[in-house]
Amino acid sequence: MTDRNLDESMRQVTRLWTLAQPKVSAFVTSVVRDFRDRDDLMQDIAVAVFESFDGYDPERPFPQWAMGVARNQFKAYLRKRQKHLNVFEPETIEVLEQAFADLPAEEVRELDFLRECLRKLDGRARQICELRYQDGLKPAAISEAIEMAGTAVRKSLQRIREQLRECVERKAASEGAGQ
Amino acid sequence: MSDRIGELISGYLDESLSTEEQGELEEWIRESPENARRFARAGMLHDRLQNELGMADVLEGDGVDDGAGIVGFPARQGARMKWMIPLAAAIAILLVVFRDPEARKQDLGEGPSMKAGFVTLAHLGDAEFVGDEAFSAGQRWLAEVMELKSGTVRLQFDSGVEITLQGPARYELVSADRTRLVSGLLTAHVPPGAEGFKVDTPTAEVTDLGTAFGVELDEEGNSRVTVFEGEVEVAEPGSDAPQVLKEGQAVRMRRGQGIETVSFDERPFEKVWPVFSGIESSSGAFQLVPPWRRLRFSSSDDFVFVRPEGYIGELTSPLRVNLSEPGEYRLEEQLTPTSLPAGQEIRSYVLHYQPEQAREGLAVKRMVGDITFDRPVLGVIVLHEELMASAGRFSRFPAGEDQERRELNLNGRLVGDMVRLSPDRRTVHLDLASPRLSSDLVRVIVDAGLPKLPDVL
Repeated sequence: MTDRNLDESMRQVTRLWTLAQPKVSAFVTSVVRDFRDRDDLMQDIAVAVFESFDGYDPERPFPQWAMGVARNQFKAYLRKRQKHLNVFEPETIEVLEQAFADLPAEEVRELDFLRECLRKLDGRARQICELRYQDGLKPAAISEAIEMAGTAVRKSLQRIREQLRECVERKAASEGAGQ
Repeated sequence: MSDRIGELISGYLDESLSTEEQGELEEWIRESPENARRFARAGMLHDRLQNELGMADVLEGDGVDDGAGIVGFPARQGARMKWMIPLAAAIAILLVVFRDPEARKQDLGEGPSMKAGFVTLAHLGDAEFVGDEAFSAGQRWLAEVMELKSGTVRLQFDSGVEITLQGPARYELVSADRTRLVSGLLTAHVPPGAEGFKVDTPTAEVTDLGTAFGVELDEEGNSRVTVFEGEVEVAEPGSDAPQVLKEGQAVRMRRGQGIETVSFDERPFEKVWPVFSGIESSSGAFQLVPPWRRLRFSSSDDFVFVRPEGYIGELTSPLRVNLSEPGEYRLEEQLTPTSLPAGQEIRSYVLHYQPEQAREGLAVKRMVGDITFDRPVLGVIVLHEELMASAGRFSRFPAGEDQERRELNLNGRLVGDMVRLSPDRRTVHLDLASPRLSSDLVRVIVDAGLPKLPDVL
């Protein structure tokens, strides 16, 4: 392969990976859950995607192919981990792999409004959200940190996410209407 | 409405499900591609939230490369890529600082350096208190015992919790998230982020898990807890065996007799609905529907239903209204349109008329009434375009905005409609002509920002 071809190939994989990465990341987060494990695994997946790009058939949708790479890396991760992990059955993982790959691009794009919606969050909701996502605390630890009942923390997280979902959908809809 | 699947997905993402619950979720995911898609959408949001917030401090700082220099991770993807830098992730963890709301207020110069109150007396109505103390709306409270001889009051906590008390009642404000009802009746609305708010009674400990419930005490201190919307946890005082009550459920708790399920009954709370909803009075054809009751498409030949859309909230983007000044409007040309700015605290109401039966021939029925809010009206939406543009902003349930015929017919003719906003901006008068099967929809936007008075400490 000439340098020029190599450059072209690198540009192509970079572009395709950039588009597919949010879905792959969300898939990995959803099956691994631990944010630090997710970060490690995503790095392995990115390297594997770049290394095995020669084997990618351009006739196939790239997100599905990248999702397959992610699945193999996830299996390797499970083998490496000695401790018991409470993960979904392989059949469920397969169903989810497809579901994440098939998510329409506009649904991924509408999450660009999330930052704006997060700015509107304040008070206790903001604090809980930061503890969960900035510090990676789970509900039990949040409950201890802010002296709030565990069930209330769990419910609060659910409602915060629902509220943010409604906010991004509303913004996406009004943006669409304004165009 | 209880959303079992929403709970399971959320619990899974937060790693708080039992093995059985996880199995239930798994089975549901595999049932259909639609289910797997719903899960995937939740997973996308969860992942993106972590990417946005997990590196928030680093993003706001200036010491970290934007990611442009890393092969394969162009800067265009912004925050989504940031976490790929392990060093930056470590910095993020070190930089995390949690701030308490009080400290933030002082930084912003919003409060005195002394400890500030956490409750505002939002509405007094016809309330009479025990003793000679004079109270006025807008007063701030820290910890206080309120003894209400009669009437109703509405309290607004800084956390967004709204409490409406009906006298005779004795209510103690213990802290920003813990209160005690010694006697009387109250309704509470707890917004997202304020879950965990507690109301103790002599026979019950009620912990809100979101959103609206009522507590009624009888003379012996026995409690009746009714959940209008969302969920609450109830327990006997000192017990560690709470029970979760869902929307539409009610229990009675008598000293030493455990938790007894009783039938759901809203009637004891009917008197507090208007105050709870921010409505001072109504007359004529108006009929108030409490915010939690889902009567979206109720039809009636005799009533214009008034329904608060959700609870108090902030405008996240500007909102166009058709009428913004006091006066009488019979023609579209008379309207005074404006755009309410983002950031404004508001409460939205839908006034909705839909006759049950088509009238014979050309008969015109007029529906006339006044509705007075406890805060000034900022604007009224009466035309189709603005009704459509505001649809779904305050309530997830549509009110039929998509039907053009629901806008007011401001043509100055016999079969035309009329709307009037009083000089003090608190009363909306509607005079609707209803020829045959004609329905009308009006959205009223009320200022919910509280007046600021000195703290009562």
